[in-house]
Amino acid sequence: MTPERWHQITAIFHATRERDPSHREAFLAEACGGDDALRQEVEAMLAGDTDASWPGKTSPLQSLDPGTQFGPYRIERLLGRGGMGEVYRARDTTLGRDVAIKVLPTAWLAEPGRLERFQREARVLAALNHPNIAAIYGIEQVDGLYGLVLELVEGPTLADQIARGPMTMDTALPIARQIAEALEAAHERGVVHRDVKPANIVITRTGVAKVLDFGLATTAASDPLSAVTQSPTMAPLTREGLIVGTVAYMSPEQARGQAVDRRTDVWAFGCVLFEMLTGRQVFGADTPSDTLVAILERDPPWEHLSSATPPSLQRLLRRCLAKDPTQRARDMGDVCLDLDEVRAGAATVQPHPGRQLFERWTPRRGLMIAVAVLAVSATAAITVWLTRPATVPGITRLTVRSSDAAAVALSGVDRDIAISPDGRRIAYVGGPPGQPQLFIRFLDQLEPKALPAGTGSPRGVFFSPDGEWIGFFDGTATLKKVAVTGGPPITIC
Amino acid sequence: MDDKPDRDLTGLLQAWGEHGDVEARDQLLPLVYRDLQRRAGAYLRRERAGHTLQATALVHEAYLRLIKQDRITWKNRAQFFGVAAEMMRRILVDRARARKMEKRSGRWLRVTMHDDMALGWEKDVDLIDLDVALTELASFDARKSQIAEQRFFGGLSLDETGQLLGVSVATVERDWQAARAWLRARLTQKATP
Repeated sequence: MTPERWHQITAIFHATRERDPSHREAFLAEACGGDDALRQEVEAMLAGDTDASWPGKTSPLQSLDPGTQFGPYRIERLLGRGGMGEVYRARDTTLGRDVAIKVLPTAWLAEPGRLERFQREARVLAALNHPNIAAIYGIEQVDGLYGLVLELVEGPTLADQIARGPMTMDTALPIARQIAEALEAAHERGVVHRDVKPANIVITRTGVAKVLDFGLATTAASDPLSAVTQSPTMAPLTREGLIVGTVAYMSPEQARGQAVDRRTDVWAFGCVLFEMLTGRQVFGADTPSDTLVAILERDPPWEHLSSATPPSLQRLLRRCLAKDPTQRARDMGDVCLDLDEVRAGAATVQPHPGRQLFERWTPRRGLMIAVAVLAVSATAAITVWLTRPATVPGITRLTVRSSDAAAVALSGVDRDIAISPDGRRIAYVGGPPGQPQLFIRFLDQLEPKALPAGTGSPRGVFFSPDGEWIGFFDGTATLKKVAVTGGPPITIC
Repeated sequence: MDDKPDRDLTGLLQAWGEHGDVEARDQLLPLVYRDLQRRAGAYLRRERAGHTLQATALVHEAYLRLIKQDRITWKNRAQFFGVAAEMMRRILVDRARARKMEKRSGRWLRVTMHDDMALGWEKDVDLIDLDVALTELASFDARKSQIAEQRFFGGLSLDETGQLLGVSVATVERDWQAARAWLRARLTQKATP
């Protein structure tokens, strides 16, 4: 073909495409002016062009026409079409109810073992009968086409709702709870969703969240690198943004093409929750590759969370979005409990002042803050807020009885209180007037334990890196250590 | 080349992208090529015949592994994907040919269309047919062929492809529409003689 001829063909191709379908044939005839070869070339291209509807050519993707009988179901209309086949609205003529039928692509089913696994999972889910999972009524096979018969769930998807802006905690948490319950129920029976995302969650008129498309995702283990486009429930893709949207919920292990388990759903749940609260995707970027980089390497943009987000909720999000699956919340049951805690807490607890105190302790500020213990009282109540990620659960409050003879130094080299590296122990100097003593407090125990410290006054307490030893200055010049479990102190120098 | 991203590679890519250092490019490309080849090989060995292949996923992954993302400007990135697409195509087509001769089992290596290409291609496409069609397209419209190559084997979005080729996104989209329609017509013609 000459470039000139090609130019002519593409010009007519584009011009025809832009015409209203009903005018195309006439336009094309005129544009080609009797040049049949030219016309054939353009027609072939138009037939190959997916967006144009061309007279006489039905879309190759649509397998069922309205009015067709598919087993006991009468097809009413096409509701949508995606990577996972078409979804029709249909009428169950025997039971007299409306259903949705998802026609599974034959190519997808051609993968050995897939149909069996799919049928097995469908059976499990059909037996589950969970209010937050779109019910599966059955699998119908007609003329080689497999149709999954589903509960017809009508309503906007969570994606639609998020598109209108961030949701308040009051709206988001009950929905999150329902999603978590649905996933937990499925996980308990060994079914992992693998493609949890806002577009797969429908909110019905009565406010019930229904998770759709369970068990449709391919196993990552069988085709590792196709993970990037693995989402089987993608909407028809015509714009870049859509595929980014799909990649955006992939867990790091999915993105790497590694085997996935229920923890992948935990991750995706975290993504969905974050998005509900902020109105933006955690890892969505301009291109799929940037999104993948973000998933694998970047921290979630926590700054987008409202400052009013309770710490317990922030912690839950961190636990769901841990890149290493072994560091992630173990299962959805855990997540459900955490959500309940957040909801209970949100109703009663205000942001805690202890946090401010802790922030002022940070060595970065280099401030030596001596909290003068009230002259009369022998106690100073110190609320410690631990913000260490993942390893430290919960807010811990405790009371430290310090000596009233001296101020307790809280920061700087000589501070008289230290937190172990794992955040589970606190060592401090306290005790009766004039007899400062070294104490250790295990946060899972109620009472502190006094440790033998020697003859002088212990000062400048610190933990060994493994948290098993406490170092301190005995008097002014002697550096000693003592095991957290007790035993005699050992002089270092 | 190990799993860790290599600083030198980033340096080479920068030298090439920002300062037009041809020597840096010549040092870089074999490394990229080797990595892509190794990854494609490893991937294909695990695969059963007839299985689909995500070429763009391979390129993305090679990029992630080879390059330390923060230090890379857009220009470097686009250049990388530009050449990586070409390399990927070469590697896959060579492999498909070799495999075909070896087995005489015919068409086995297929590519699956990436993102927006998926729409309307109800079937996977034979790689060798696609290669031939792309070469034919290049003979009378190099740019459209290049855009299509990027869609099938590269990792750039339409936007980025436009920037790489120095044309607007609208042009890339239009070109891609035409290229896609033509390729599809071409390939379906072959499939049903």
